[in-house]
Amino acid sequence: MALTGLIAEGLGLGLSTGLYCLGACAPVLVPYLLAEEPRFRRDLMVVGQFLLGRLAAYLLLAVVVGLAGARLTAMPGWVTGPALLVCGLVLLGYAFMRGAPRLDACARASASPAVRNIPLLMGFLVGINLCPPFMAGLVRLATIGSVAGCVAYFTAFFAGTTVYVLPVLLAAPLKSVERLRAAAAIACGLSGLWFAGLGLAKLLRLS
Amino acid sequence: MTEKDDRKLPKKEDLGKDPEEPAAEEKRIHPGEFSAARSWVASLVIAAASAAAIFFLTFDVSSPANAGWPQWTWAAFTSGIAFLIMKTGRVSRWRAVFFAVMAWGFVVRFKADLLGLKGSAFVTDAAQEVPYCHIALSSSILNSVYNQYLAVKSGAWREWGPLSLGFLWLAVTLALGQAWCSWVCWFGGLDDGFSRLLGKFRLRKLSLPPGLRDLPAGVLIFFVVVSMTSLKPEFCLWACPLKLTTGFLDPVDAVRKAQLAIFATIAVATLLLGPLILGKRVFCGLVCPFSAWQSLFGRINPFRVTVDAGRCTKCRACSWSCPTFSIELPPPSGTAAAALPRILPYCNRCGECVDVCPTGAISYTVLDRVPARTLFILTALALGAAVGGLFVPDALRMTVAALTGGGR
Ligand code: SF4
Ligand code: SF4
Repeated sequence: MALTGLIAEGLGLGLSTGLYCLGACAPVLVPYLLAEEPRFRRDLMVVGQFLLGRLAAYLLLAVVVGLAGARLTAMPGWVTGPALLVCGLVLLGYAFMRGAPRLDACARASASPAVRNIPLLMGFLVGINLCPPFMAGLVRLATIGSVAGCVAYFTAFFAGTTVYVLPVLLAAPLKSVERLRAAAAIACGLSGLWFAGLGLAKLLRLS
Repeated sequence: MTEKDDRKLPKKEDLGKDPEEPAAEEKRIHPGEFSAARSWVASLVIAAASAAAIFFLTFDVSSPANAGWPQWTWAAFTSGIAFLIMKTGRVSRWRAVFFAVMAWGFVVRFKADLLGLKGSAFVTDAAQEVPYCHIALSSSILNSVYNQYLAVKSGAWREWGPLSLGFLWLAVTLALGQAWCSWVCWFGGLDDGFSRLLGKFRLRKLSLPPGLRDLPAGVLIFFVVVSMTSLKPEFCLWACPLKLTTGFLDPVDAVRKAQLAIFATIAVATLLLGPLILGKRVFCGLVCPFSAWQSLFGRINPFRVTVDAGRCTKCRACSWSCPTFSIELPPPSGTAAAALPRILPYCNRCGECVDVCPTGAISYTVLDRVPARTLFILTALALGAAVGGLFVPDALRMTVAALTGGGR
């Protein structure tokens, strides 16, 4: 199949199923976004890093599936549990760090570049989650049989789903509400618990 | 200004005494309180005014069945509360009695309905996944907006449901703002009641670790987002302990059992043990997402609780007494104004600090300017009674019928 055809197909899949992506990304991204400094440039950075993380996850899988091709018989379903668990723990750690700024270790950690780049990691971890549209994309990838084709297909899929993730930026003006950033840091902790719980349930095969 | 701002300061020697049992209470006439209000005649006049307001708000004159003895009893009870508040000058004490009776009425009415209609305390009706209330409305607001869109499209908006609940919420919020949580909420009476049970034996003078006061707002943000993405009211399903007082889903599988374990634990910790031991409204102050929601939207209402810088002696009694941790005390350094107690947006106008302040420095006002104590109390009581009128008279009737063996 021609590359343009694959791109159109990936874009179509992304645009038609992107609401799922908003469902997966919003509980991670919205509390984090609200907890950060009230500056538009920082908001753009956060969303940009998060999307970049997702793109990295998609491309990694596209390359792996492209190389394995039809030889790939089982989808890496085991990835979801640990990914959700790590994502939850990262969010919990971030919430703790924001909640205890007077602790020396927290103050040092919050200034470190690793912490400033948390959205990148979270985007990656959310990206490798096997949600239904992502699974549909992976099944299709396995039949393409070339790395270039897989990368083109998943890049287009990413672009289609991103349309649904961008509206999270609309939440940013809420940061002017008194005490909202402190509340959002707490919401990050709750999101962390939620995702860690989901990850554990998947690992223990409870859901 | 229609009400007389007649201030009488207590004697200096009364200031050091336990502010929760003020000896000079009768002298603390608050701003916005009629100076003659503590007399029998004035208190009776105000009680009669509140009875009239309750009559017009709750009685359906076109249907005699809706104006029987339970309705009259409820109206007499609430105007009795108005009388006691005016006569004694204690707002929160009598409000709490009214509030606890409301909560009792709701629980009896709802449970009786559930047992009568379904023969089980569990909600199993597929048409209604979970009981719906104002707390659910706030914590899954995006879902509600979406459902309203569907309801308006299909013409089903006329049926009782989230839309009607939305209108009730809007009307009460316009009239009372945050006071919903201390005068109207049919659940708030539970933790308010438990927080008073042990009286003097509870822990007092508790300050909250910094940041913890914003917990309900964090809960609200998290559940609004998660509920929208899962298309389910997740706070109701996983966390709301108030389902125990109404109805909850049959715990038939592992997920339901986990949900039951989580919200039952929250119930024991924040509705029962926390309030009993700490004497605070732990659920309302530290968990309920609606309290955070109301602190945001309640600002459209002009009633406020205001500290008068000229009268405040910075004794901190108000801060210790606030059952919802809504008074922040800045460190004593800095300017005198900066050290004043600060009423947070989470204040739900319960009146505890108004009662406790030994110098009468805290009062109900309109927009922090015009004293409005009597106006506020009458409005709050009338609206609370109107909402309670939807279920307390029925609960009374059911209780009497059960006690006399008459059935429902
Ligand atoms: S406002 Fe609070 S700190 Fe000031 S005098 Fe009254 S109770 Fe004491
Ligand atoms: S600040 Fe005063 S009126 Fe407001 S909740 Fe606290 S005690 Fe009640």
